[in-house]
Amino acid sequence: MRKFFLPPERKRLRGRSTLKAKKKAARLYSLRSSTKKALPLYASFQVPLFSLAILLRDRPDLISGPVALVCCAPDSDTSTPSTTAKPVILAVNHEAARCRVTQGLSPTKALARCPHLNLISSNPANECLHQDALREYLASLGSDFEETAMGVFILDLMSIPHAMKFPGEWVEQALRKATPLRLPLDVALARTPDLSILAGQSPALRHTLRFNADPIFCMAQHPTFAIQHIDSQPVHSLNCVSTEITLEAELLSLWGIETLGQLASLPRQGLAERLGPEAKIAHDVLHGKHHRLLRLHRPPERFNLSQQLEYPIETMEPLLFALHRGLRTLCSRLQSSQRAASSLRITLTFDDGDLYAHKIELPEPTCDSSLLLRVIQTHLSTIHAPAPATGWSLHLTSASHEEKQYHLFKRSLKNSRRFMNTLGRINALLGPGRLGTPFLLDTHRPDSFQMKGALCSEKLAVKGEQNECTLSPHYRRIQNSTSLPLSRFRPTLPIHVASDPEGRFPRPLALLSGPYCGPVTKSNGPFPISGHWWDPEERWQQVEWDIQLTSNALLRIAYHPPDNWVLEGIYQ
Amino acid sequence: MHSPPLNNGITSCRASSLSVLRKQMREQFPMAHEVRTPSSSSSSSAHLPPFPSGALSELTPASPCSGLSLILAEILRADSEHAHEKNDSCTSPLLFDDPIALIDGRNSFDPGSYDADSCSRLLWIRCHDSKESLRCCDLLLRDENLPLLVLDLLLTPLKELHLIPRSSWYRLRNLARRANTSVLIFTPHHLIPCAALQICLDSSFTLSALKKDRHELKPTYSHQKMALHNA
Repeated sequence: MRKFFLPPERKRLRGRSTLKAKKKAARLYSLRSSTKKALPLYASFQVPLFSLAILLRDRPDLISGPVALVCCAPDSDTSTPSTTAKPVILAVNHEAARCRVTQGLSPTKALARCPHLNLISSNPANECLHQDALREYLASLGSDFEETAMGVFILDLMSIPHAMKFPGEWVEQALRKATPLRLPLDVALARTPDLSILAGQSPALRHTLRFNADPIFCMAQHPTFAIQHIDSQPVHSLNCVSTEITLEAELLSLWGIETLGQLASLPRQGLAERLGPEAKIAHDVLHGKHHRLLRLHRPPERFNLSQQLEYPIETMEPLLFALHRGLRTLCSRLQSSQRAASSLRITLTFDDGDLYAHKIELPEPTCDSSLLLRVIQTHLSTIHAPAPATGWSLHLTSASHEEKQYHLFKRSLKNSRRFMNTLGRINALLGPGRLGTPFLLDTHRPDSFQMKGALCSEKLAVKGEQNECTLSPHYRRIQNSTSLPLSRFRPTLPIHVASDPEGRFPRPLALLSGPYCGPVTKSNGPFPISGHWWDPEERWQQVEWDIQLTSNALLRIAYHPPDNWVLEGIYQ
Repeated sequence: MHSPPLNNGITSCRASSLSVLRKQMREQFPMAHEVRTPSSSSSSSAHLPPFPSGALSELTPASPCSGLSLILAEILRADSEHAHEKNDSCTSPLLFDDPIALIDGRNSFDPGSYDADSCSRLLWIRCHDSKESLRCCDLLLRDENLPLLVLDLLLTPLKELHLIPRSSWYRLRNLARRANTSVLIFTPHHLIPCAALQICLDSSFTLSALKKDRHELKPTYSHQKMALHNA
């Protein structure tokens, strides 16, 4: 009562204080509303019956009839795909389902139920291609999306302000953008990723794109999610949502729980006590309380850079300058992603339209731009450009940094990068195929070997083992047939030999020409060898002799029918 | 008054524990505790003379078939056997034993005369002439990664070898000393003025030797010069 009798000054003051409080409250409210976190929203994109849909896309004549997808399942006894694998029905369309053709049936049974059933075999390569196309489509809509399964994606709309403000309009635009794919597509929105998948299976909640010559867009009757709209869905549809949920649908069916609505209406605590934590998660999913994180798809990073030069470059220095700039950019990108380059590919475009490409393997992964430049410089010094360079392109293959534990008492290369650079310089000096580790080929043909690339650390030991394994036991036995190693003349030197024609093969008596002339004092032979007799072009035949001259020189000569002698080598 | 005996006790205890530790280390890593003299060879074998590290060694044949190629075979084999011994103790894929570089002056090396293990440890450099051979040798010595280089000039014509300036050999010697690399040079005649070791192989094999086993053939040699500059 006393407050009504306050003095006028006090009344004025009180009025001012309430005004201030109101202003303050309004300011706080505006501040809170501006900082208020928006509720998350997810969009699920599902291609119904993905494997079947991509096959029917190219065969519109089959769409109206019953169709089933057949795949050879592995034999249950051996659990390996083999010739005894039994074909089973993987998916059926609506018309086939009407004829009671279901998944898991054998084609014989399916045909018995529906004589007009069209059977199509699955095509995994085609599925991968369409999955890639869908992935690209999703990437064009937003960056944060999950590839849940084949033909199923979940997109986080938090990073798309337009979708958060006008979801209906955005969904329509997204569906129109999907028309070039010519695949049926369902889009549904919900506050959690799992609910968005469930919403996509509800006819009332999903926005659909279908094709009947022209695209047909059908917007959802209820754009906002409510649990009532998924009430009638079977309980086992929850198993498709998440791998965390594996409910026993048969047990629930015995209890009279067959739909999601019935499951959602049960008390959470009671479910958890009877069916364990999985049932609790399922309950939370249905009530929108379980909010799992998306396994975001991230495209593999590519480290390549190319440049078309304004003016053709004639000398190496300006080209190296430009390449160094590109390498620095690429190396900084590699460093920022905690990676290193294991190999690099350089492509040069010349003024006359010619193209030069070369791949350089690095001994150790590195992201040092100056080191990479030195490797490129060493290589470029070996090539002759047909015309001035008009463009370049660099591609670095990324790898993780090499980690190795050095031993106290074991030795390795002091500086493998410098060694690789030295080998590159020697290679540039001698030309290709003049440097490396020799590996014998599995043939009897003399002087048959292959030069493998420059040896480097662990590859060396592995190659040695492989070489040992690839040689046949017979060939290994004939190796080292002579106790003294031979020094070969490459190419073999043609010589004139005085020979005794009697016998099957002519016996050498004296060398008349060549670097070693003189009468033959002793000889071992003949050793006839031949190979590739079935191939008229590759056929070879020769008769080898080991001879000793009066000068004590031990030589290997070979007779090539009908009348050619060559000096193959000398024993030193 | 009591401190000196106490100190002595601690010292003796330390010494005994150190000796035990050294013994354990010696048992566990016998390779690391090999006694090596400064002039020890980079490839030691019963049939081979010790090749000084950080110096040039010149090997010349006295006769056309003196068994120089046997020495190369033994070097390659010794290295691979050595590698197997090492691999038995620890099989780490990242570590490897040093390869041997063969600078082949006339591209005459025959891989078919050697076993696969020996070839797999070989870095074969197939040169056209002596100029290229010396340049490759120079590059590998400057690289300082390989402890043993073999330069084969046996089939190089004498006329070409005499054109090599003497200063080139001295330069190679200095590089080898800096890199602590052992360089074996096979020459048809004595050629290198600054070789720390000159070996002349006296043996002469005949045609009957080709029918024997390789391990039965033992080339004999005589030291002509032994001047260890780094000793």
